[in-house]
Amino acid sequence: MSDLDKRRKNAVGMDMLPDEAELEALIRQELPESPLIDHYAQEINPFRDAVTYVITGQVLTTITVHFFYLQYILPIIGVMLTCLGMRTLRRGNRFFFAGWILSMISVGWTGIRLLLAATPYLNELGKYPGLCLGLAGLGLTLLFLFCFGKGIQQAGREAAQEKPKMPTLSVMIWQIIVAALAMVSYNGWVLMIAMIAAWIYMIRYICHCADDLQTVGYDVPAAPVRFSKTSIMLTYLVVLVAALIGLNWGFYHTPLEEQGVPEQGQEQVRAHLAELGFEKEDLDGILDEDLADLEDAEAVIYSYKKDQDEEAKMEGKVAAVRLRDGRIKCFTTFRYMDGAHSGLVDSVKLQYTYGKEAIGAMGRIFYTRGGDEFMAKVPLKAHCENRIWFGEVSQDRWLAGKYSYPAFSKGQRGYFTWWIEEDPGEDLTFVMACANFYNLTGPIVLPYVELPYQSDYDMLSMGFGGLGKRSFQIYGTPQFEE
Amino acid sequence: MDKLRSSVEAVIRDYRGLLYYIIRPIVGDENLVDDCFSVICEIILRNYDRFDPEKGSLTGWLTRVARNGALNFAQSKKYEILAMDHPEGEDGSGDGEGRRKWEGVDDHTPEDRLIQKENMEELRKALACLDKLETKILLRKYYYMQSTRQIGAELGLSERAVEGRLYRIKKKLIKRMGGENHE
Repeated sequence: MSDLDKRRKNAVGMDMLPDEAELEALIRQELPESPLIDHYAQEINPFRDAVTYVITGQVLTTITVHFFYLQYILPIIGVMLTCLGMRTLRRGNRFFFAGWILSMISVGWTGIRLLLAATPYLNELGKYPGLCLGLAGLGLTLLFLFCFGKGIQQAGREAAQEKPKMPTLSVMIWQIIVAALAMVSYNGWVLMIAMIAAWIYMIRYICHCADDLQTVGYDVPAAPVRFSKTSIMLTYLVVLVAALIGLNWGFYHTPLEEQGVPEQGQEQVRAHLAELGFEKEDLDGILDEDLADLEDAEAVIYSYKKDQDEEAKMEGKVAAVRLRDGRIKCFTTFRYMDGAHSGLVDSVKLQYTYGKEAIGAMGRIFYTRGGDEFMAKVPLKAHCENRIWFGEVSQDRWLAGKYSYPAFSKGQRGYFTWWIEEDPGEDLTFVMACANFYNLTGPIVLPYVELPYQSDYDMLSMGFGGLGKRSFQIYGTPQFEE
Repeated sequence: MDKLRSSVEAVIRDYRGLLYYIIRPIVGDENLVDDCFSVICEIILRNYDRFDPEKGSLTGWLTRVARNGALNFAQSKKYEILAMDHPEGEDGSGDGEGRRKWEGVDDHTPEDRLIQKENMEELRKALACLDKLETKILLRKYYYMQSTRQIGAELGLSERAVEGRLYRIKKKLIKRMGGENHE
């Protein structure tokens, strides 16, 4: 460091260092000589930032990526950028003004579509109303592109530009072709690649047109704004996120009627089952009323299987009790490891021996809160679905239920029990018991899914174990001795 | 000569919007804007042969010419606040007078001047550290002399947000110029 540098550093905070007014004077002296002027000369106009926002917004709205919720995030950001860009241009001419109004409608429309996606209503609309919604959205987009393109054209005309172009025309045609292809469910690669290439060309073309317009841009008056774009964007996103969390909570959270855990009784039955091999730890967790009909049990068999995830988030067992009257009662006991249950909703799909129909079923969950133990009854609903397997139609049966543990509860566990009956002369050598647990890790899960997943196909198509969703399986096939 | 004149006139026609855009906030009075535009057109016609495309863009050169011409015009019309230290330079775009005036202040010792020169050097370095938006705001305010309202409108910011950003930019520059110890 030179002596001068040292003296200068020593002068820090003293008169030698510029105060605000001196700094301004220094800046005024420095800037005219600065290379920054050449660098930024083309960027400083009332038009460029706004048009960049609109073009970026339109690009984002046409991208559909089904990953990490980008299919929702990109259009939301896209319509917001478009609207913020149009807000600046709105006083340019009447087409820009109309485009601004349409862009605001688009913001509302996209937000409502997003919120609807978090509810069961969008799925319930069915094919044709859904198609109408899609077409309405397309109409809105086309109308906006028309106004934006005409606005640019008029701005060019007002700036005495020769033959001003309407750069959005190709985008409008492209949008119509893509919509038509979607309606006929076109899946061919060749045309798709051609459309992607056309899309890239169009974006380049629009950017080129925007550059051509830089001399026009100075004639477009920028409209003053009351709120900054960042604050508007953040407010909109925060409101959407809050609404989504609220909707998810409202549609998924399934609180059950809480009860105290009753004192244990049925000592004889418990002792009998323990003799047959029912593990005491499990017996202690089962209510008297679910054991009451097991006094004539003749065998208890176990199958131990934990969830198939390497990092075990649940553990459970399957116990089957064979009764003398030909009934077989299965118990799937489970325990959530730390944090494995959902704060939003847990659900279960119980599948049992193929071809059989459950003649009864019950579900219980237990938890502790404030040192006290509580329980709740989980309502289970029977489902039946025809399944075609190698040309043969068969009936697939299962039980399903959903439940939410209260916030701040601990020690989440429970059991599900169902029973089947042997047909006359039938001697089942084993039972199959499969409990598929699905939970939503939330707090935002999109789109809305009916829990538990109704079929394996749904489970796969919904992105099994994907963002916001988690699943575990406790599966057992207890074998009776011959 | 006529060919050059017609090409310059074409440039002026094409860049009319840019010239008005730069003149308007500096001159302020809408009644004088057209007069100022005429003066600047004359300057461009007179100095167009000095424009060297290798040294910078046409937009950049026109920006400098229009800005300095508008300042001179404003000064000549006794707009003392706007017309501070920025008369026309040798290439028709510079700002030599302001610097000469500053350098000619008598109550500065040679050491003061050296420190001031160091400050300018530090300012140059500090300016290079600003992000794109900050640089644009600074240029708009202190070079284009745009109002806070205009800056806000064109950048999609409220006037208050622009003022806040300007304040933070200045603090940032002072801090960078003063080193880590400066509050």
